[in-house]
Amino acid sequence: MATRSDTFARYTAADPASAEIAPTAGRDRGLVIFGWLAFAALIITQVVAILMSPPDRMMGHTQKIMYIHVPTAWGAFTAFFIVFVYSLLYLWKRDRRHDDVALASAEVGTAFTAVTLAQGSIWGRPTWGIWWTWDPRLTTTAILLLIFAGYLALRAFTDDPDKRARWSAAVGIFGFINVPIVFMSVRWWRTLHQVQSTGDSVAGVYKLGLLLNVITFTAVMVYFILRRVAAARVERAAESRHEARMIGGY
Amino acid sequence: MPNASADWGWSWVMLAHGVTWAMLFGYAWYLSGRMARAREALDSEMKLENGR
Repeated sequence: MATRSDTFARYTAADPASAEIAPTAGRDRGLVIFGWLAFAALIITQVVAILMSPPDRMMGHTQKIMYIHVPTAWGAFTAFFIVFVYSLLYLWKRDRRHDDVALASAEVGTAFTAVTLAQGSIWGRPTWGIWWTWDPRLTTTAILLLIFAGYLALRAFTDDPDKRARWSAAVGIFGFINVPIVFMSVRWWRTLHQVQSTGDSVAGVYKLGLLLNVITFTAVMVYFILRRVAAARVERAAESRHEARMIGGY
Repeated sequence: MPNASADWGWSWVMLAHGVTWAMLFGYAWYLSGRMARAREALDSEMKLENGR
């Protein structure tokens, strides 16, 4: 008859990293300080950008929405790139720690994409006179949101952690293909949306504020991903111990 | 051409910021709750494991 420790060892052999995770995981002091600094820097760069930039000749003060809209979209694209890389790594190495990072990035990317669409809509109403239009940039972004919302929903469909990680890795890789399409949509098709906000297309007076906010939004995004990874690891450790206890019948 | 007077557009800027900060603080709050529940689950699993 298998003993409790035999059963636990057998189960955790499939997920060795989970055996080392303690309930104190994620209480990393460095990460907490990084989070506070990232949020403080974001508030400062927003205030600086808003106060420093004069109203745009055509858009008035609504131009200032660019300081949150472009960095949020950038954060979402970066998060989905991380999903792509860690999904490939998972399929290659079959290490569940890679799946934790892909999941965390997909969740953060989805939240950022939803807010990007909301900000765009709020900007579009006074500027274009409409909340929404089936413009290629808007439509491809909405598709991106649906794909990654599907990625997150898919994970609830199976209790098998390997199957869950494998299925979501496939969707993560497939979903990322849409990111370059979203990015290039304003050049490939005739759109209402202006071209990408880059160093060449943004007026000099707005460049520094935009750059600073892209950096601070990225820092907040990285903080969110690291915190979500820590939570996913603790959840996985609890899950594998629970399974081992159920299998062992103790 | 839209109205480009000096005070034009602030309400839209505030609305966009409201949505953005709601997401940022809302997600941070959700993460704290998620982590607390995960720690509690792991803690109780370890207690059960050590109690036998």
